[in-house]
Amino acid sequence: MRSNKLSIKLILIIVFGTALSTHAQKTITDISKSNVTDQTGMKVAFSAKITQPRNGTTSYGDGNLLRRFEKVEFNDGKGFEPTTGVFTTPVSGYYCFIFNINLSNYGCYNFPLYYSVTLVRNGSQEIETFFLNVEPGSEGFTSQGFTFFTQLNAKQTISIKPNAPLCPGGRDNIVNSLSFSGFKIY
Amino acid sequence: MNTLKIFLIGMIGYILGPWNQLNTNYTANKVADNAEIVNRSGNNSESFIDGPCSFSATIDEHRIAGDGKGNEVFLSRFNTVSNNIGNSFKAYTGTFQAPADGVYHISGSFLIDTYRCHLRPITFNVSVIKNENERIESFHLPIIRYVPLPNDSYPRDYTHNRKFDLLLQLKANDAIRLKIQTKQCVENLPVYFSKVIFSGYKIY
Repeated sequence: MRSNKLSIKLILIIVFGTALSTHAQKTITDISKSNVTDQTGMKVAFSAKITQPRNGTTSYGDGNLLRRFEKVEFNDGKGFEPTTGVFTTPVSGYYCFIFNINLSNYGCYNFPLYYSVTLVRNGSQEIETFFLNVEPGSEGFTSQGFTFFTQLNAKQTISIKPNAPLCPGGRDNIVNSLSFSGFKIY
Repeated sequence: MNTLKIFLIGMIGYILGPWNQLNTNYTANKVADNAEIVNRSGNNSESFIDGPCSFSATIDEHRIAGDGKGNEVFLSRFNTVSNNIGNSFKAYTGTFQAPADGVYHISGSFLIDTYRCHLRPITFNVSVIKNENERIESFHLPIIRYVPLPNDSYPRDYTHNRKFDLLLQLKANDAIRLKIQTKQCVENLPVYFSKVIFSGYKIY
């Protein structure tokens, strides 16, 4: 009888011990799993376009920034806002931005002109400027663009400040169409 | 003595517990590893649906940019394919076929030969075509005109590079090709290119 009671006690202790450690293990696993659902695997990519020709010089109340994008092809991560033309970084990482513009021939037949594009971070920090030549006198429009890489922290913003110098005595330049895209590399 | 025995037995139980857990985890990981091996092997394009996808191909010979009459022509017969992970690019037809729905980055680089034309400037037009004939984007890349000066004793070389980058959202099996077109000068001088690099990859 006494050995039976002892056997039962032993079995209970072993079972209890097993249950306790399994629970402990599961808790550890659950904690480590919750780290996998953080934002590092988040997919971020956007592409937005201005499709209707607009004056490159007059601001139309846009201030000094490129706004009023007319078409959003895709916006994974919801970082880009077409009305303001601002990309707000959803998650920290290393990003690539691609800019394409089609500009109509404007004035200055005898010397080249550029359309400059400055990338602005957080509304005021000018981080890079690209000088895109417009070939004088070419038929229709000419295409230009740049590709830019930068590290960004979550919530930092990127916007575009264009500068279209006028030809002396020349016409206003026309932006035929434009696309601004970007994606998170890692 | 009894207390010690009970303690030791309890400890055995504690050690045995995680062993059960470990066994389960190991089996799950093994299944996942095997699935990945299957995905990356073979030439079946379906096995690369979730795998990496990239290509880079070159035309490196002197060719007329277009058909010599100002019409658009599909870019084909790539000489070298230096990268084709996922086997999604066909060199003869110059077609990239997306293996799965996703976001893709494609690039084109063109080495345009010296163009001697005294009259109006022209452009090297590249269109990105999806499937049969859906025009996704057109780039009118400016060609530098070489106008010889009167005291030029020998013709100068004005070969120059033009390129484009594009981000696209594609569906599985969408086909991407490039079409080029150049309008000639009145003097019947066609535009030539001597190199084209067409590359792309699936971002996700």
